[in-house]
Amino acid sequence: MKRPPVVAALLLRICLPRDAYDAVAGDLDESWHEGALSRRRYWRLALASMLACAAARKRGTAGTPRIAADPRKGERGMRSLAQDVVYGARLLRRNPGFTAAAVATLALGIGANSAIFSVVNVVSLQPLAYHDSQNVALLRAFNVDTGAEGFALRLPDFVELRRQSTVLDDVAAYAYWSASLTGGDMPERAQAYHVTANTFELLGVMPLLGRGFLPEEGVPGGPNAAVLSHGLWVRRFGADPSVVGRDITLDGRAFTIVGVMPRRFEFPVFNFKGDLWAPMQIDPDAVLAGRSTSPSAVVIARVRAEAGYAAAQAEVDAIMRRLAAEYPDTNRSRGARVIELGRLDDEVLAPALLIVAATVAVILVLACANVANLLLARGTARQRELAVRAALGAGRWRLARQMIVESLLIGAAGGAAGLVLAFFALDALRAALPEIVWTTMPNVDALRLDRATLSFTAGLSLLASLLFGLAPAWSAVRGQLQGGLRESGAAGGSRGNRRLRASLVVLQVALSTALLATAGLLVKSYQRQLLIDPGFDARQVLTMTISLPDNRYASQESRLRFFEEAARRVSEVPGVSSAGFVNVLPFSTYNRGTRFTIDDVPPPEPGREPGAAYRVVTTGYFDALRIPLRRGRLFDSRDRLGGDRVVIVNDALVRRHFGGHDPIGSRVHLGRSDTPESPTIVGVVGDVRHDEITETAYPEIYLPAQQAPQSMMMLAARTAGDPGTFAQAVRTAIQAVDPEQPVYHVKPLQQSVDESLVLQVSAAGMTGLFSIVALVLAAVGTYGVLSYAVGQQQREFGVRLALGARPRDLLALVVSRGLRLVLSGAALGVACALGVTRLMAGILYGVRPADPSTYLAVSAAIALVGVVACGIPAWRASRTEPMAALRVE
Amino acid sequence: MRAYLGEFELLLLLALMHLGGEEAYGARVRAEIERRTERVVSPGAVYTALDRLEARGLITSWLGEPTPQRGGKRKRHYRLQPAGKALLQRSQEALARMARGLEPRLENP
Repeated sequence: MKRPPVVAALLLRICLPRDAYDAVAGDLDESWHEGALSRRRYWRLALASMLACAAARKRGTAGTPRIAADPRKGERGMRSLAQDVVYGARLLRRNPGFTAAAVATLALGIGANSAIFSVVNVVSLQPLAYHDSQNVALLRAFNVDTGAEGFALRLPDFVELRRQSTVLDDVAAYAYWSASLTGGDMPERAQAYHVTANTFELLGVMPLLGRGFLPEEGVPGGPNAAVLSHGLWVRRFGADPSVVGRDITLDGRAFTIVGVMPRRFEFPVFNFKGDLWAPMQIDPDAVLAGRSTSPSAVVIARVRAEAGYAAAQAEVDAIMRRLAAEYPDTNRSRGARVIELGRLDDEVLAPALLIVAATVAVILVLACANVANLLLARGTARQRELAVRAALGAGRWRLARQMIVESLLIGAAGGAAGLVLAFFALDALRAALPEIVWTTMPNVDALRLDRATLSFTAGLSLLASLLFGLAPAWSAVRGQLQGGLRESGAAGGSRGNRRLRASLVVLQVALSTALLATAGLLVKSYQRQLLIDPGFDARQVLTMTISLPDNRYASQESRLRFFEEAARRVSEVPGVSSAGFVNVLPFSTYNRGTRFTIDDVPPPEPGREPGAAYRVVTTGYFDALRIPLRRGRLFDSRDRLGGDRVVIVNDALVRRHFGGHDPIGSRVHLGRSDTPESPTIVGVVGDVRHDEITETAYPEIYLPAQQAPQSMMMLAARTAGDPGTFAQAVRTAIQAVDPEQPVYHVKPLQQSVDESLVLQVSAAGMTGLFSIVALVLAAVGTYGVLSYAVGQQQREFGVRLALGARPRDLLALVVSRGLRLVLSGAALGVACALGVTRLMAGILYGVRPADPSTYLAVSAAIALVGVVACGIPAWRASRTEPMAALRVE
Repeated sequence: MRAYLGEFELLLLLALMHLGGEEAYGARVRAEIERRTERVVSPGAVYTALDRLEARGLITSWLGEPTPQRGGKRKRHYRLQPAGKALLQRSQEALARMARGLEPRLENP
C-alpha cells in the first residue's frame, strides 16, 4: 500500500491544532487507504481543509476551541501563520528600499545559479535521446603504448568485435560522407553518414515515418536507401509526410527515402549532427580479407546492461590483444576504450563547468550574506517592536517564525525575479553560442527554462531563505532573551549581533577575493593563449570546403583540374592576394595522419612506425596561410603527377627524426602511399598548430595535390579586408568552374581558431563577470555594515568630538575598523584561493596557480574597493556635529 | 442563537441522521454528502462546521479509537442532540413553507 503524500500530511500537522489534525488527516488517510483519493485529490482536500480551518478562526465563528482556536496550540495554527505572511508582506511593502535591495541581490544570485543549472542540466545531466542511452558506448581507438587517442577504429576491428563480443549486445559503425544533394531548386551539401544497417536498432530509436535500414540494404550491391533527419525533412521537403518512397539524388546517384527520424534524434553527437543517413554497404569477409588497406569508421556499441562497462572494457581489451598478437602488422598496440557516449564531453567540459558552477554558488552565498546583513541591521532596529510583541504574549518561537516567514517571502520574490533574469541570460547565451556548438553538441535545443530548472530555482530560493534568514531569526530571539524592553540603540545592536555581521563581512571579502583570483588566473591564461603563434596567419583568410562527387569526377586528373582551376580563379578575384587548397585546414576539427619511415634508417618493427599529420596542398596554400619556408623550396609546377615524388616536412619532424640535421634530399616512405617508391623531401616549413593552440608541435608531411589528388579539399583565400565580404565573389569564381558544385563551411579561418578557444573564453568571461559581481556585492556588504555602525555610534562620535578628537581622527578610526575586516577577509581569501586554484593547474596555460602578479593585483583591487566602501561612512562619521549627535537620543 | 440552519449545516445534520452510531464520523459524513449531492467538501470544512454546531448544542462529539487505517489517528464521532433534531425540523418546515405553491415551477423549470 502506498503511503499518503508526506508533504501534504506534514503541512497539515504544522498548520492544524492536534485534535483537528487527528480528525482531518485521519479522515484523509482513511479515504486514501480505501483507494478513494488520488494524490492530487488528497492534496486539494488537505489544502482546502487548512484554508477552512484558518478561515473559521479568522471569522471567529469557530465554536469549541478544539478544532479552530485552541489557545495553547493556536499559535502553531494556520491562522497565525497567515497573519505572519500578511504582516511580513505589509512590512516588506512599507520598506521598499530594503525590499528592493534584498530582492535584487537575491535575484542576481539565484538567477545566475538557475541559468548555469540549465547549462549543466543540458550538458551533463540530460541523457542522449536514445533508448537506455547510458548503455550506448563509443569504442574509441587508442594506442596502448603511447596512450594517444583517436576517434575511429578500422573496419576489420569493427567486424571482429561484432563477431566475437558477448558482452556487447550489438556493435555498429559509421563514417562521414559529405554528400551533395541535388535535384530540387539548389544543390545543397548534406551532413551525411554511412551507417551500418543495424545502427537505428542499436540506438533503439524508431523512425517517425517509414522504417530504418534492412539487412539487405547493408551489403554491397544492395538497394540505395536513405533515412532523413527531422531537420532536413522540414527544411528541404516542407515536412511532407508522403516523402517516404520518393527518390533523392546524392552525389549524382538515386537513393530511395525509406524513413524520417523524430525531431529529438541527433546522431552522431560530438561530431557534425547528421542530416541524412545511408547504409554502409560492406561484406564482413571481404573487409577481413583486405585487412591492410581497410578504411576506418567510428564504432559504437550497446553494452549489455547486466554486464556493465567494466566487463565490456575487459572483453574488448582481450579481443584487441588477441588481434594484435594475430595480426601484428596492422594491429600492434591498437586498443579500444569503451566510453559511455553521453559522457564523452565530460572530461573536457567538467572542469570548466565546475569552475563556473562553483562561481555562481559563491555569488549566491555572497548575496545571502548581504541579505542576512540587511536583515540583521533591520533586526536591531526592530528590537523594540519585537520586545513589545513579546511583552504582549508572543512566544519566542512565534517571533522567530515571523522572521523566518519574512525571509521566505524575500526568498520567493528573489527566486521569481531570478527566474526572469535567468530567462534573459539563457536567451543571451543561446544567441552567443557559436555555430560549432549547435552543430555538434547534443541536446542544445533543450537549453531553456524547463521544469527541472524551475524546481531547482524553487529549491534554491527555499535554501537561500533559510541561509540568510536563520541568523537574523536566531539573533532576534536571543536579543529578546537579553534585551526585553531595554533601549538598545546606543550600543549599536548587541555585541553578538555586531560580531556576526563583522564575520559576514570577512566571509564576503574572502569569497570575492578567491573568486577574483580564480578569474584573474583564467583571464591571464586566456591572454597567454591569444599570444601564441599558431604557425600561420589566420587573419583575413576566408575558408570553405568542396567535396567532388565520384560520379562526375571519377578520374584523378579531373579532380586535380578542378582544384587547380578553382584556386587560379579564386586568386584572380579582386582583393584576394593568394589562394590554395588543403585536405584539412588547421582548426577545422578534421585531421588526417599517416605513418612513415625514413629510408636509409633502420626501420622500427612493423606497427611501431612514427606518425605524422598528412597534408595534401595546392601550390598557393603556404602563401595563403603565410606558413614560413625554412629550407629548400615550396611545391611548384615542376611537381607533376607521374613525375618525381616530393614532400615537404615541418620543423617538428626535422627536430624529432633528423636530430635537427638538414633533411633535404632524404626520402620518407609513407604508410598511406600505395607505391613502393619513397618521395624526396624538398623543403621544410614552420610548425602549424592543428587542434588546439596550446598543443605541442606535431610532425607534419605535406604532399603536392598534383601527386595525390583528393576529392574533398578546403580552400584558404587571403583577402584584403573582412573575409566575410568576399564570400560571394569567391563562390562565384568556383561556380564558374562547375556551376553544379556546392561549397560549404564558408567561414573566416579566424573564427575556427576562436571557436577552439570557446571554452577558455567562456570560462574566463563568466568567472570574470561573476567575480566583478561578487566584488560589488562584497563592497555593498562592507559599506552597509560600516555605515550602519556609524549611524548607531553617532553619540559616541559626538562625545569623542566634544572631548577634543579631530574629524580626522574619527575618519581614521572608522577606516581602520573597516579595513581591518576587509584585510582579514582578503588574507583569508588569498589563502583559500591558493588552495583551490591548485586544482585548476590542468586548465591553466602559461600561468602558475600561485601566480604572484595575479594575487598582487587582486589584493590591490580588494584593498582599493575596501577603502572606498569604508571611506564613505568614515567621511560621514567625521562630519558628525557634536550637538546633533548628542540630540539623537 | 440563530433560528435556522445554513445550507451546509443542514446537509451535515441530515448526513448524521442517515449514518448514526459508530458510522457518524468525519470521513463517512463527507462521503455521504459527496455520494448524495455530488458536492466535494474538505474534511477541514466538515469539522469546522460540525464544531460550530456542537458549540450551539445541536450535536455532541466524542473521540474514538485510533485505527491503523488512519495512520494511528483518532476518529471524532458525532451524535445529533434533541435540540439539533428540533432545529432540523424547523428548518425543514420553513423551507417547505417557503416552497409551497412553487412546486410546479420548481419541478418544471
